[in-house]
Amino acid sequence: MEVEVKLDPALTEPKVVIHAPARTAEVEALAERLSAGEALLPGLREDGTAALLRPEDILRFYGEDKAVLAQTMAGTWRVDARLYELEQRLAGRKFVRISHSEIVNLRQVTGLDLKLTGTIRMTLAGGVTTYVSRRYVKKIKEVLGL
Amino acid sequence: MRRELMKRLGLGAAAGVFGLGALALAVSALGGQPWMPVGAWLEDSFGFGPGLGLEVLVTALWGMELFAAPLIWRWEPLPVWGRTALHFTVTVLGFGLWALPHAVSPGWDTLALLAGLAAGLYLVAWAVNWLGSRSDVDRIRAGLGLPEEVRRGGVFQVRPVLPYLLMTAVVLLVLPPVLRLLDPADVPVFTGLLYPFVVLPFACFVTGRDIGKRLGVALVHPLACGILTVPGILLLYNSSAVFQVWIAAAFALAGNLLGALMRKKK
Repeated sequence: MEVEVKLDPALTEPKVVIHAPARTAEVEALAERLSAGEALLPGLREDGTAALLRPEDILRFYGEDKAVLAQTMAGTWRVDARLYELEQRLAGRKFVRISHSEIVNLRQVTGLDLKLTGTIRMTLAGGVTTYVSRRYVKKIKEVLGL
Repeated sequence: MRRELMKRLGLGAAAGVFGLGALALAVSALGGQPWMPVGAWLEDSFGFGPGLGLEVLVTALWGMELFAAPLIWRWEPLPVWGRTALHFTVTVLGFGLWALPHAVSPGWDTLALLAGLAAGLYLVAWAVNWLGSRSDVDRIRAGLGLPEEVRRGGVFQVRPVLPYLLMTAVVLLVLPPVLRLLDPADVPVFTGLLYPFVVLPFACFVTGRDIGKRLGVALVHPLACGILTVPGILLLYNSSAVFQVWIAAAFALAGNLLGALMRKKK
């Protein structure tokens, strides 16, 4: 990969433009790595432990008792943001809303099945199960480019 | 939610009244003379003016029901089966109550017949909707790079075929009596020709092909198609119509094998 640095005194912060022949997985990963520095989320556990959460480690965000929680393989953290804010902030990072009160990380999905009752069950890493509202199926397809 | 409900109720009422007016205009244009869309029973019971008023009212109510009912699906605290049961009840009752004043002899038996018809249509719509959801789920699974769903039960798989069976059952059990009602008195064109030689083979073939494309060979469907023609034969035909059993089973099997072949090639 060729790296070139151009200096522009008119800019207030560094700006990276990726030139590539096609939008490949490698390009996507590079773009994600470059922008990850700004996306760390501060989380707080019930015991008062604080941590900076990397979006790729998060399984899902969900609303519970007027709070927004982020679930990772290591546990659940309270985050200081609304679901719609997280949705906007994580747009383009394979996070998608699957119901009124939940956003999941599509990279952590390990299973998806439709039950006879019409319920769509989603399984995330670590065996965490959740349910997709049919209203948001279109949104998932959009995010996946289907 | 409340605001949207009010908006939908208003739009539904307007759509109902507008639809009724459009129907009157269309029938008048086709018939060449003015036509007022008042049910015979309403006019006989209440006179033309009040009858027309009631007609507008029941049509507006039906429109409101049709427009507002989809909101039930958003009521997430209720489980899916609960939402389905509520939506089903509201839809079937809405249609039954709208159609009742238009029946030749309104009564509980007519209401039961209309509700049964609406229930049949609802079940078909439900099955189509479910199959659409499954198609979406399959596409999302593929998009996420998840493995294809494992088929259980081999050629005798029942569970994945159930929505197709439901759809076929409605066509094979509900359609013949409805067509019998529409048959001309002299020649039973619908039940004697159209149903056994066009609708029955087509419905069995198409559902069989779809099952084959999605699930491979599934012998339960052709078997069910053959069996499901029996009540119609006993109730509406006689022993000369037994060939319908073989037509249904053969076309379902042919569709299924073709679909399975298409799946294999894909």
